[in-house]
Amino acid sequence: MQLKTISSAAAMLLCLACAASSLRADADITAVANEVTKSLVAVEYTARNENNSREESGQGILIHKDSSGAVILVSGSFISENMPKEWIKDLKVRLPLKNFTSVDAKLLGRTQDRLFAFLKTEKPVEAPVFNPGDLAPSSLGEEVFAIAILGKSGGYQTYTGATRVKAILDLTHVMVNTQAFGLTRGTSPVFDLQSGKCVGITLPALGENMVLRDSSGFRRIELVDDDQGNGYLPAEEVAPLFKNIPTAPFETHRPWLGLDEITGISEDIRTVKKIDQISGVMVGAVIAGEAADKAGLAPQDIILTVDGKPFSTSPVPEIMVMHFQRALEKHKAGDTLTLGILRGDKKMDLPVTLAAAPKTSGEMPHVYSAKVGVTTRDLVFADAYARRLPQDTKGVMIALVKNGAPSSLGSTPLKVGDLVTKVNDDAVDNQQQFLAEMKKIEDAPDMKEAVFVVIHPDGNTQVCHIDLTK
Amino acid sequence: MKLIPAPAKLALVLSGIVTLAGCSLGHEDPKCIDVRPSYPVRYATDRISPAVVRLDIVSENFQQGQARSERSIGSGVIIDDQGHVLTNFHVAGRAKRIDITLSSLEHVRANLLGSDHWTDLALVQLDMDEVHRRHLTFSHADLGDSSKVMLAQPVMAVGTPYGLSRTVTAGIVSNTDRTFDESDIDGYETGWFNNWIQTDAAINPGNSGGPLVDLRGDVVGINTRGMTTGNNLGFAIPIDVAKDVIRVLMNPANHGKVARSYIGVQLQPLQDFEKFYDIAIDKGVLVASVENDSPAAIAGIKAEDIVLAIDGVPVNVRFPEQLAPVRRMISDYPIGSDLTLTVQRPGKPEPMTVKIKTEKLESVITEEQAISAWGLSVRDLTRAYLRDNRIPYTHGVLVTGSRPGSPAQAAEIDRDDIILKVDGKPVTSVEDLQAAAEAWSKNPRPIGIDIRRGRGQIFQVLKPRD
Repeated sequence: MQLKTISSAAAMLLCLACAASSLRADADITAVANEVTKSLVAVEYTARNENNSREESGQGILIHKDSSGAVILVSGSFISENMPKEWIKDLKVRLPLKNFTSVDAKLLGRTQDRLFAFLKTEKPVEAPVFNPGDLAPSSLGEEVFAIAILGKSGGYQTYTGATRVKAILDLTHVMVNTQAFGLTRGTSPVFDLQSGKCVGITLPALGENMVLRDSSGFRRIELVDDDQGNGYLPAEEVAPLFKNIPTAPFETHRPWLGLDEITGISEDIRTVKKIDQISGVMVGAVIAGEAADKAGLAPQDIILTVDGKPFSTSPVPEIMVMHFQRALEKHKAGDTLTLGILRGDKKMDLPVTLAAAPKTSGEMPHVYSAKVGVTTRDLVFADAYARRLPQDTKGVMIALVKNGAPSSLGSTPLKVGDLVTKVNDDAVDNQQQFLAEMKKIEDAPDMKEAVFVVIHPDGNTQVCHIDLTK
Repeated sequence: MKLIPAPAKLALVLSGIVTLAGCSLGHEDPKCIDVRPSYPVRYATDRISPAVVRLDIVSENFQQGQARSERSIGSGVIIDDQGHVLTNFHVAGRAKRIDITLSSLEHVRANLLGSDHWTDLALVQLDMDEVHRRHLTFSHADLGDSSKVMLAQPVMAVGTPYGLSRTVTAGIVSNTDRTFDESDIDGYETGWFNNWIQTDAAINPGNSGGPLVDLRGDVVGINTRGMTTGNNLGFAIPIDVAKDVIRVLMNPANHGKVARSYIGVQLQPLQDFEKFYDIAIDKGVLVASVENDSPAAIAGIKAEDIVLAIDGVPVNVRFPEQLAPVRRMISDYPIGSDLTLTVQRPGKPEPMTVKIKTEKLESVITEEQAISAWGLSVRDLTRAYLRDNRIPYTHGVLVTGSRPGSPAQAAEIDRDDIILKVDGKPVTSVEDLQAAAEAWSKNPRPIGIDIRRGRGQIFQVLKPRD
């Protein structure tokens, strides 16, 4: 088994060597790889809850260290934003210079755009900090190579991939699109093949999440071939990662307008509405009580400018939406912008103060109640919004039902996604009240049954009987 | 236990029709039935077969905004000398053309008189002018009494499985009160108001709409469903349910539809909950959910209420099998009735009475229609659709698809959009939209279409294609 794994890794290296052979290398790839891999680390954790356990592995870059530990940059998708922190177990970093022995680590926080996360080791480490030097811009046709380390099955060995820049895409971010690196690991530094200068960092999310779909996950930008999912974030996007590196836990929230169903304007709409600029976005829905609502935006308003300037020059409606979001992402919650809008045939400026995006489910504490066999959390904005329930809906969300537990049995079992509004005779407004009900059940060994009132994801309620003797 | 002596049995057989039809023990005591092979089956077959027909249906199936003709085959049973044929909604309920093959193998056209997707039944009528002109003859079946059907009673299914006309299969009643969760036929709700007779008489696709008969040859059910993953698990709508539907559909004043009352509650059996709610095991039905803006919600009914009686008539749903009769009890009230529910609310010492004015039960979906000039398929919007999708009340027309290359598709109008306005004018029905499209066809030009999409309201431009 071990031999087989090693031979497949060797085959991959050969393949990469083939890919690189057509490119002329002035930079000493071996020397750069030897130097850079000292700062590349393997990152691992176990995603474990009462039903499942799954080992996750990835790659990080050591970007800072001090007397308390080292800060590691990883891709944001390595630890999903929706993963409850209680389910992240044994987060660790493996260092090349110490023969990949592990050091415990913790999650510090995420970049505002959620593309990257920062980890910190629990103790100081002996490894050099990666220095990107003067990050160089990318250009079409440029020959580049990336450096990564294989995962556990590949013995954590160094590997590289070389390719050529095919396109520089201007979507939700500027993204450099390349032919295949052959790299399967995100967060790999990319270098210019001639100068050896760092030009960017690969990101696994580039393919599926960032290039193919817009934020609604609905309309697709079709790519001409599979390789278009390959690429890296160029200097202008990654340079801020090496400035003001966080060293303590922190929270960031994306700026939030509270709009939904945003669409780019077509050429026909421009003609009918007599809009002379090429891009704009139409507001579909304004979420009641949120920033845009407070600012007076209305459905069918067409946003033409942000702070007096058009935010896109793309003629493609889907990309207009991306560029509008990108214009917002350049700001922080609390910033005030001026949106230039067209309402009917009247142009007007509306000042709007960005709020912080609502918390995600992963940010809420998750608590397991053993006797019933459920994990619950407090509600977040998206819970009521997705179910089209009033935002003042009270209750707790079921995040896990333990297989074989009383909650999973009977003719009316509880299900993940059920919103609990009542337990036995008591209304449950929040996690605290729910846990108090669970304590009553724990403290009453003779209690043989419990009744939960839940709202299913389809909005219908149900009364659920839980036999506590099972 | 009554045993019939052998000579008497022989006498019964010899006296044939009269004897079996007149057997006073025929339903009450299955031992009355002649047990010698083939005779009862042959008797029933002889009685029912001349009344069973094959239906060749042409219906419209909408895909990507355009109607396509679709052919299908089903079964039916003639129920009177006026040529009325009972079949399933899913066989003939959306038919554009019906051709019937009589047991004499003669073909005759038929017309759809009415249908009821809630019970999956449809009523068609032979073209009697054609029948008379061509001197065609047919027999009709007698409808039995499904309330007297017994477990393990022999039954037969007659129909057109896989197009094999006049196929007779035999078996027994496997269950008299099978219940299923509510489901749908291409979006049309069904199965709310009845349980099913389960039989192991082989029922396959094409049997739908055909009769399930007892050994008298009387129709006790309409074969409707089968479990394709199992063997010989077929299900028939009890004929007593069908009799009520037939009566309504035959009345021209009802325009081929069965009107029912709606109050907007989902009910749940009380089994397991009696102790918790401290209620007798033979009383009440639990309210699981109350639909927004429904009569029940307006009247203040809440989830967890226990309905003890409706207009003073006690209700009892301990098991799922008891749900359909209570739903039917409510739906059978004339629309606009004032119901008085006796309700026990948890934590309250005494039951209370709640007055509810019923509304008309609506389907979530309505008939699909094409707006050819724009390449759209659409339906009228119903309050049930809005409630089901938790969309605030709005007028409009629901889009079900758009044809590739059409003006509608170029304007990015697509499935689930609700068209609110055309060229600034509100649209409240498919008829409105059709009129707007026809007017546009005479003067094609770019026009604005206001659309509700998801939670939002957007504007698109529809223009002629080059």
